[in-house]
Amino acid sequence: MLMTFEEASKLIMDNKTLHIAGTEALLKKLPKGKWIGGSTEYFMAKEGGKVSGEHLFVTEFSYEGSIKTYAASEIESVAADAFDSGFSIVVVPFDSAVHIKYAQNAAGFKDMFLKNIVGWISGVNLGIPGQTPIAVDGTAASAYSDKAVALHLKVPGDKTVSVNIVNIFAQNEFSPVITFEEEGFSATKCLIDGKETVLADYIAQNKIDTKLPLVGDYAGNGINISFKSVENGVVNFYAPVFRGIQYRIAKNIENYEKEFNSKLSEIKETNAAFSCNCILNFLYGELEGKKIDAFSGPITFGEIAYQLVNQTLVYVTVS
Amino acid sequence: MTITNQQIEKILAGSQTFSNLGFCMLVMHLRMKYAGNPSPVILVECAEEVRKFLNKTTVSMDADFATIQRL
Repeated sequence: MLMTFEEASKLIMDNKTLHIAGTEALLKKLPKGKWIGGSTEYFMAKEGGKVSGEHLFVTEFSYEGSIKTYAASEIESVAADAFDSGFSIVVVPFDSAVHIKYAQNAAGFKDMFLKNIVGWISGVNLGIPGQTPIAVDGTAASAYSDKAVALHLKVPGDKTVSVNIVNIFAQNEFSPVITFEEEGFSATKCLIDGKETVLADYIAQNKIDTKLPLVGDYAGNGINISFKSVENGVVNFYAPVFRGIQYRIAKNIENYEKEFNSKLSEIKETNAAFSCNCILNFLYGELEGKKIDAFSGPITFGEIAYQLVNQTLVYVTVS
Repeated sequence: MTITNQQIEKILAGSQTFSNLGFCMLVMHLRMKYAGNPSPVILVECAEEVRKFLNKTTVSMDADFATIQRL
């Protein structure tokens, strides 16, 4: 829940196991304790979407936990380090080497799909220059712009943990199939229905709304790749595109708030142990002040549901 | 659930869809791996990963098990 610096500090001093989202400045002032943190000023609170440099979004866990930091050279062991019965929350600073390594390689990390891995990419206030995306290891009160921090939580063996996403986007069946020969966060060429095409030209000529993501078909699950920019003929993304995945442009969304709440009405009884939602959903959907039922948490610069996903609400349940 | 290598090869070379998010991501990861080198060695490696997932997972996989049994 959203709380003041003093309230969050008290929970830390009470030796609670916590996940905390807030500004770089506030996170760096919190006392040492059993917590991890990540920077953002955007939140989905119980009362609605909120931008605040004065509050922290705190999630408390009653499970046994361990905290570990990971440089880019170490991140491949993040799932192997997770408890067999439990889940891990990983915070990764935006645009860091560890962000890129995770985004491009997570599917191949040891035990990735045998453990329950969620998390998010930390960011900044987009209107305030000079901030740095950070992840914080509260046990050492150390803030990192170049390391990920994970909270590995151990859940009793008789409990069931489930990692889920809410994706309001679906492939537009009228979009051609878009595939890529080269993987990465940017692309010049792609194949449009099998024909080599300059992607930037395709976007311009077809007046593609780049607020809509590419939706990759992952054996029936839609996984989004958001457009970041189109510059000098190069299309940049917020997550890497992969060879072998069939992408299409997403169907248009008329009303974000309505679409989210419609999707969430199907799972309104869900009690998420942790959730986060994407900054692009927050901005494009103009969700500030609007309420997304049942799910609160940080608004993030990329979401992790095993792999990095975009424009997606990620949540984990324990039942 | 018992799953044969033949069923796993059909999953890797096919286009079946599944429900469970982790399983879908694993299947796509393995499809890409197998497409890059469709050899018996890689098939055995992929089969081991699928079996580990199915043995380990505690979430509901009923719908996906039904899909696999039809292969």
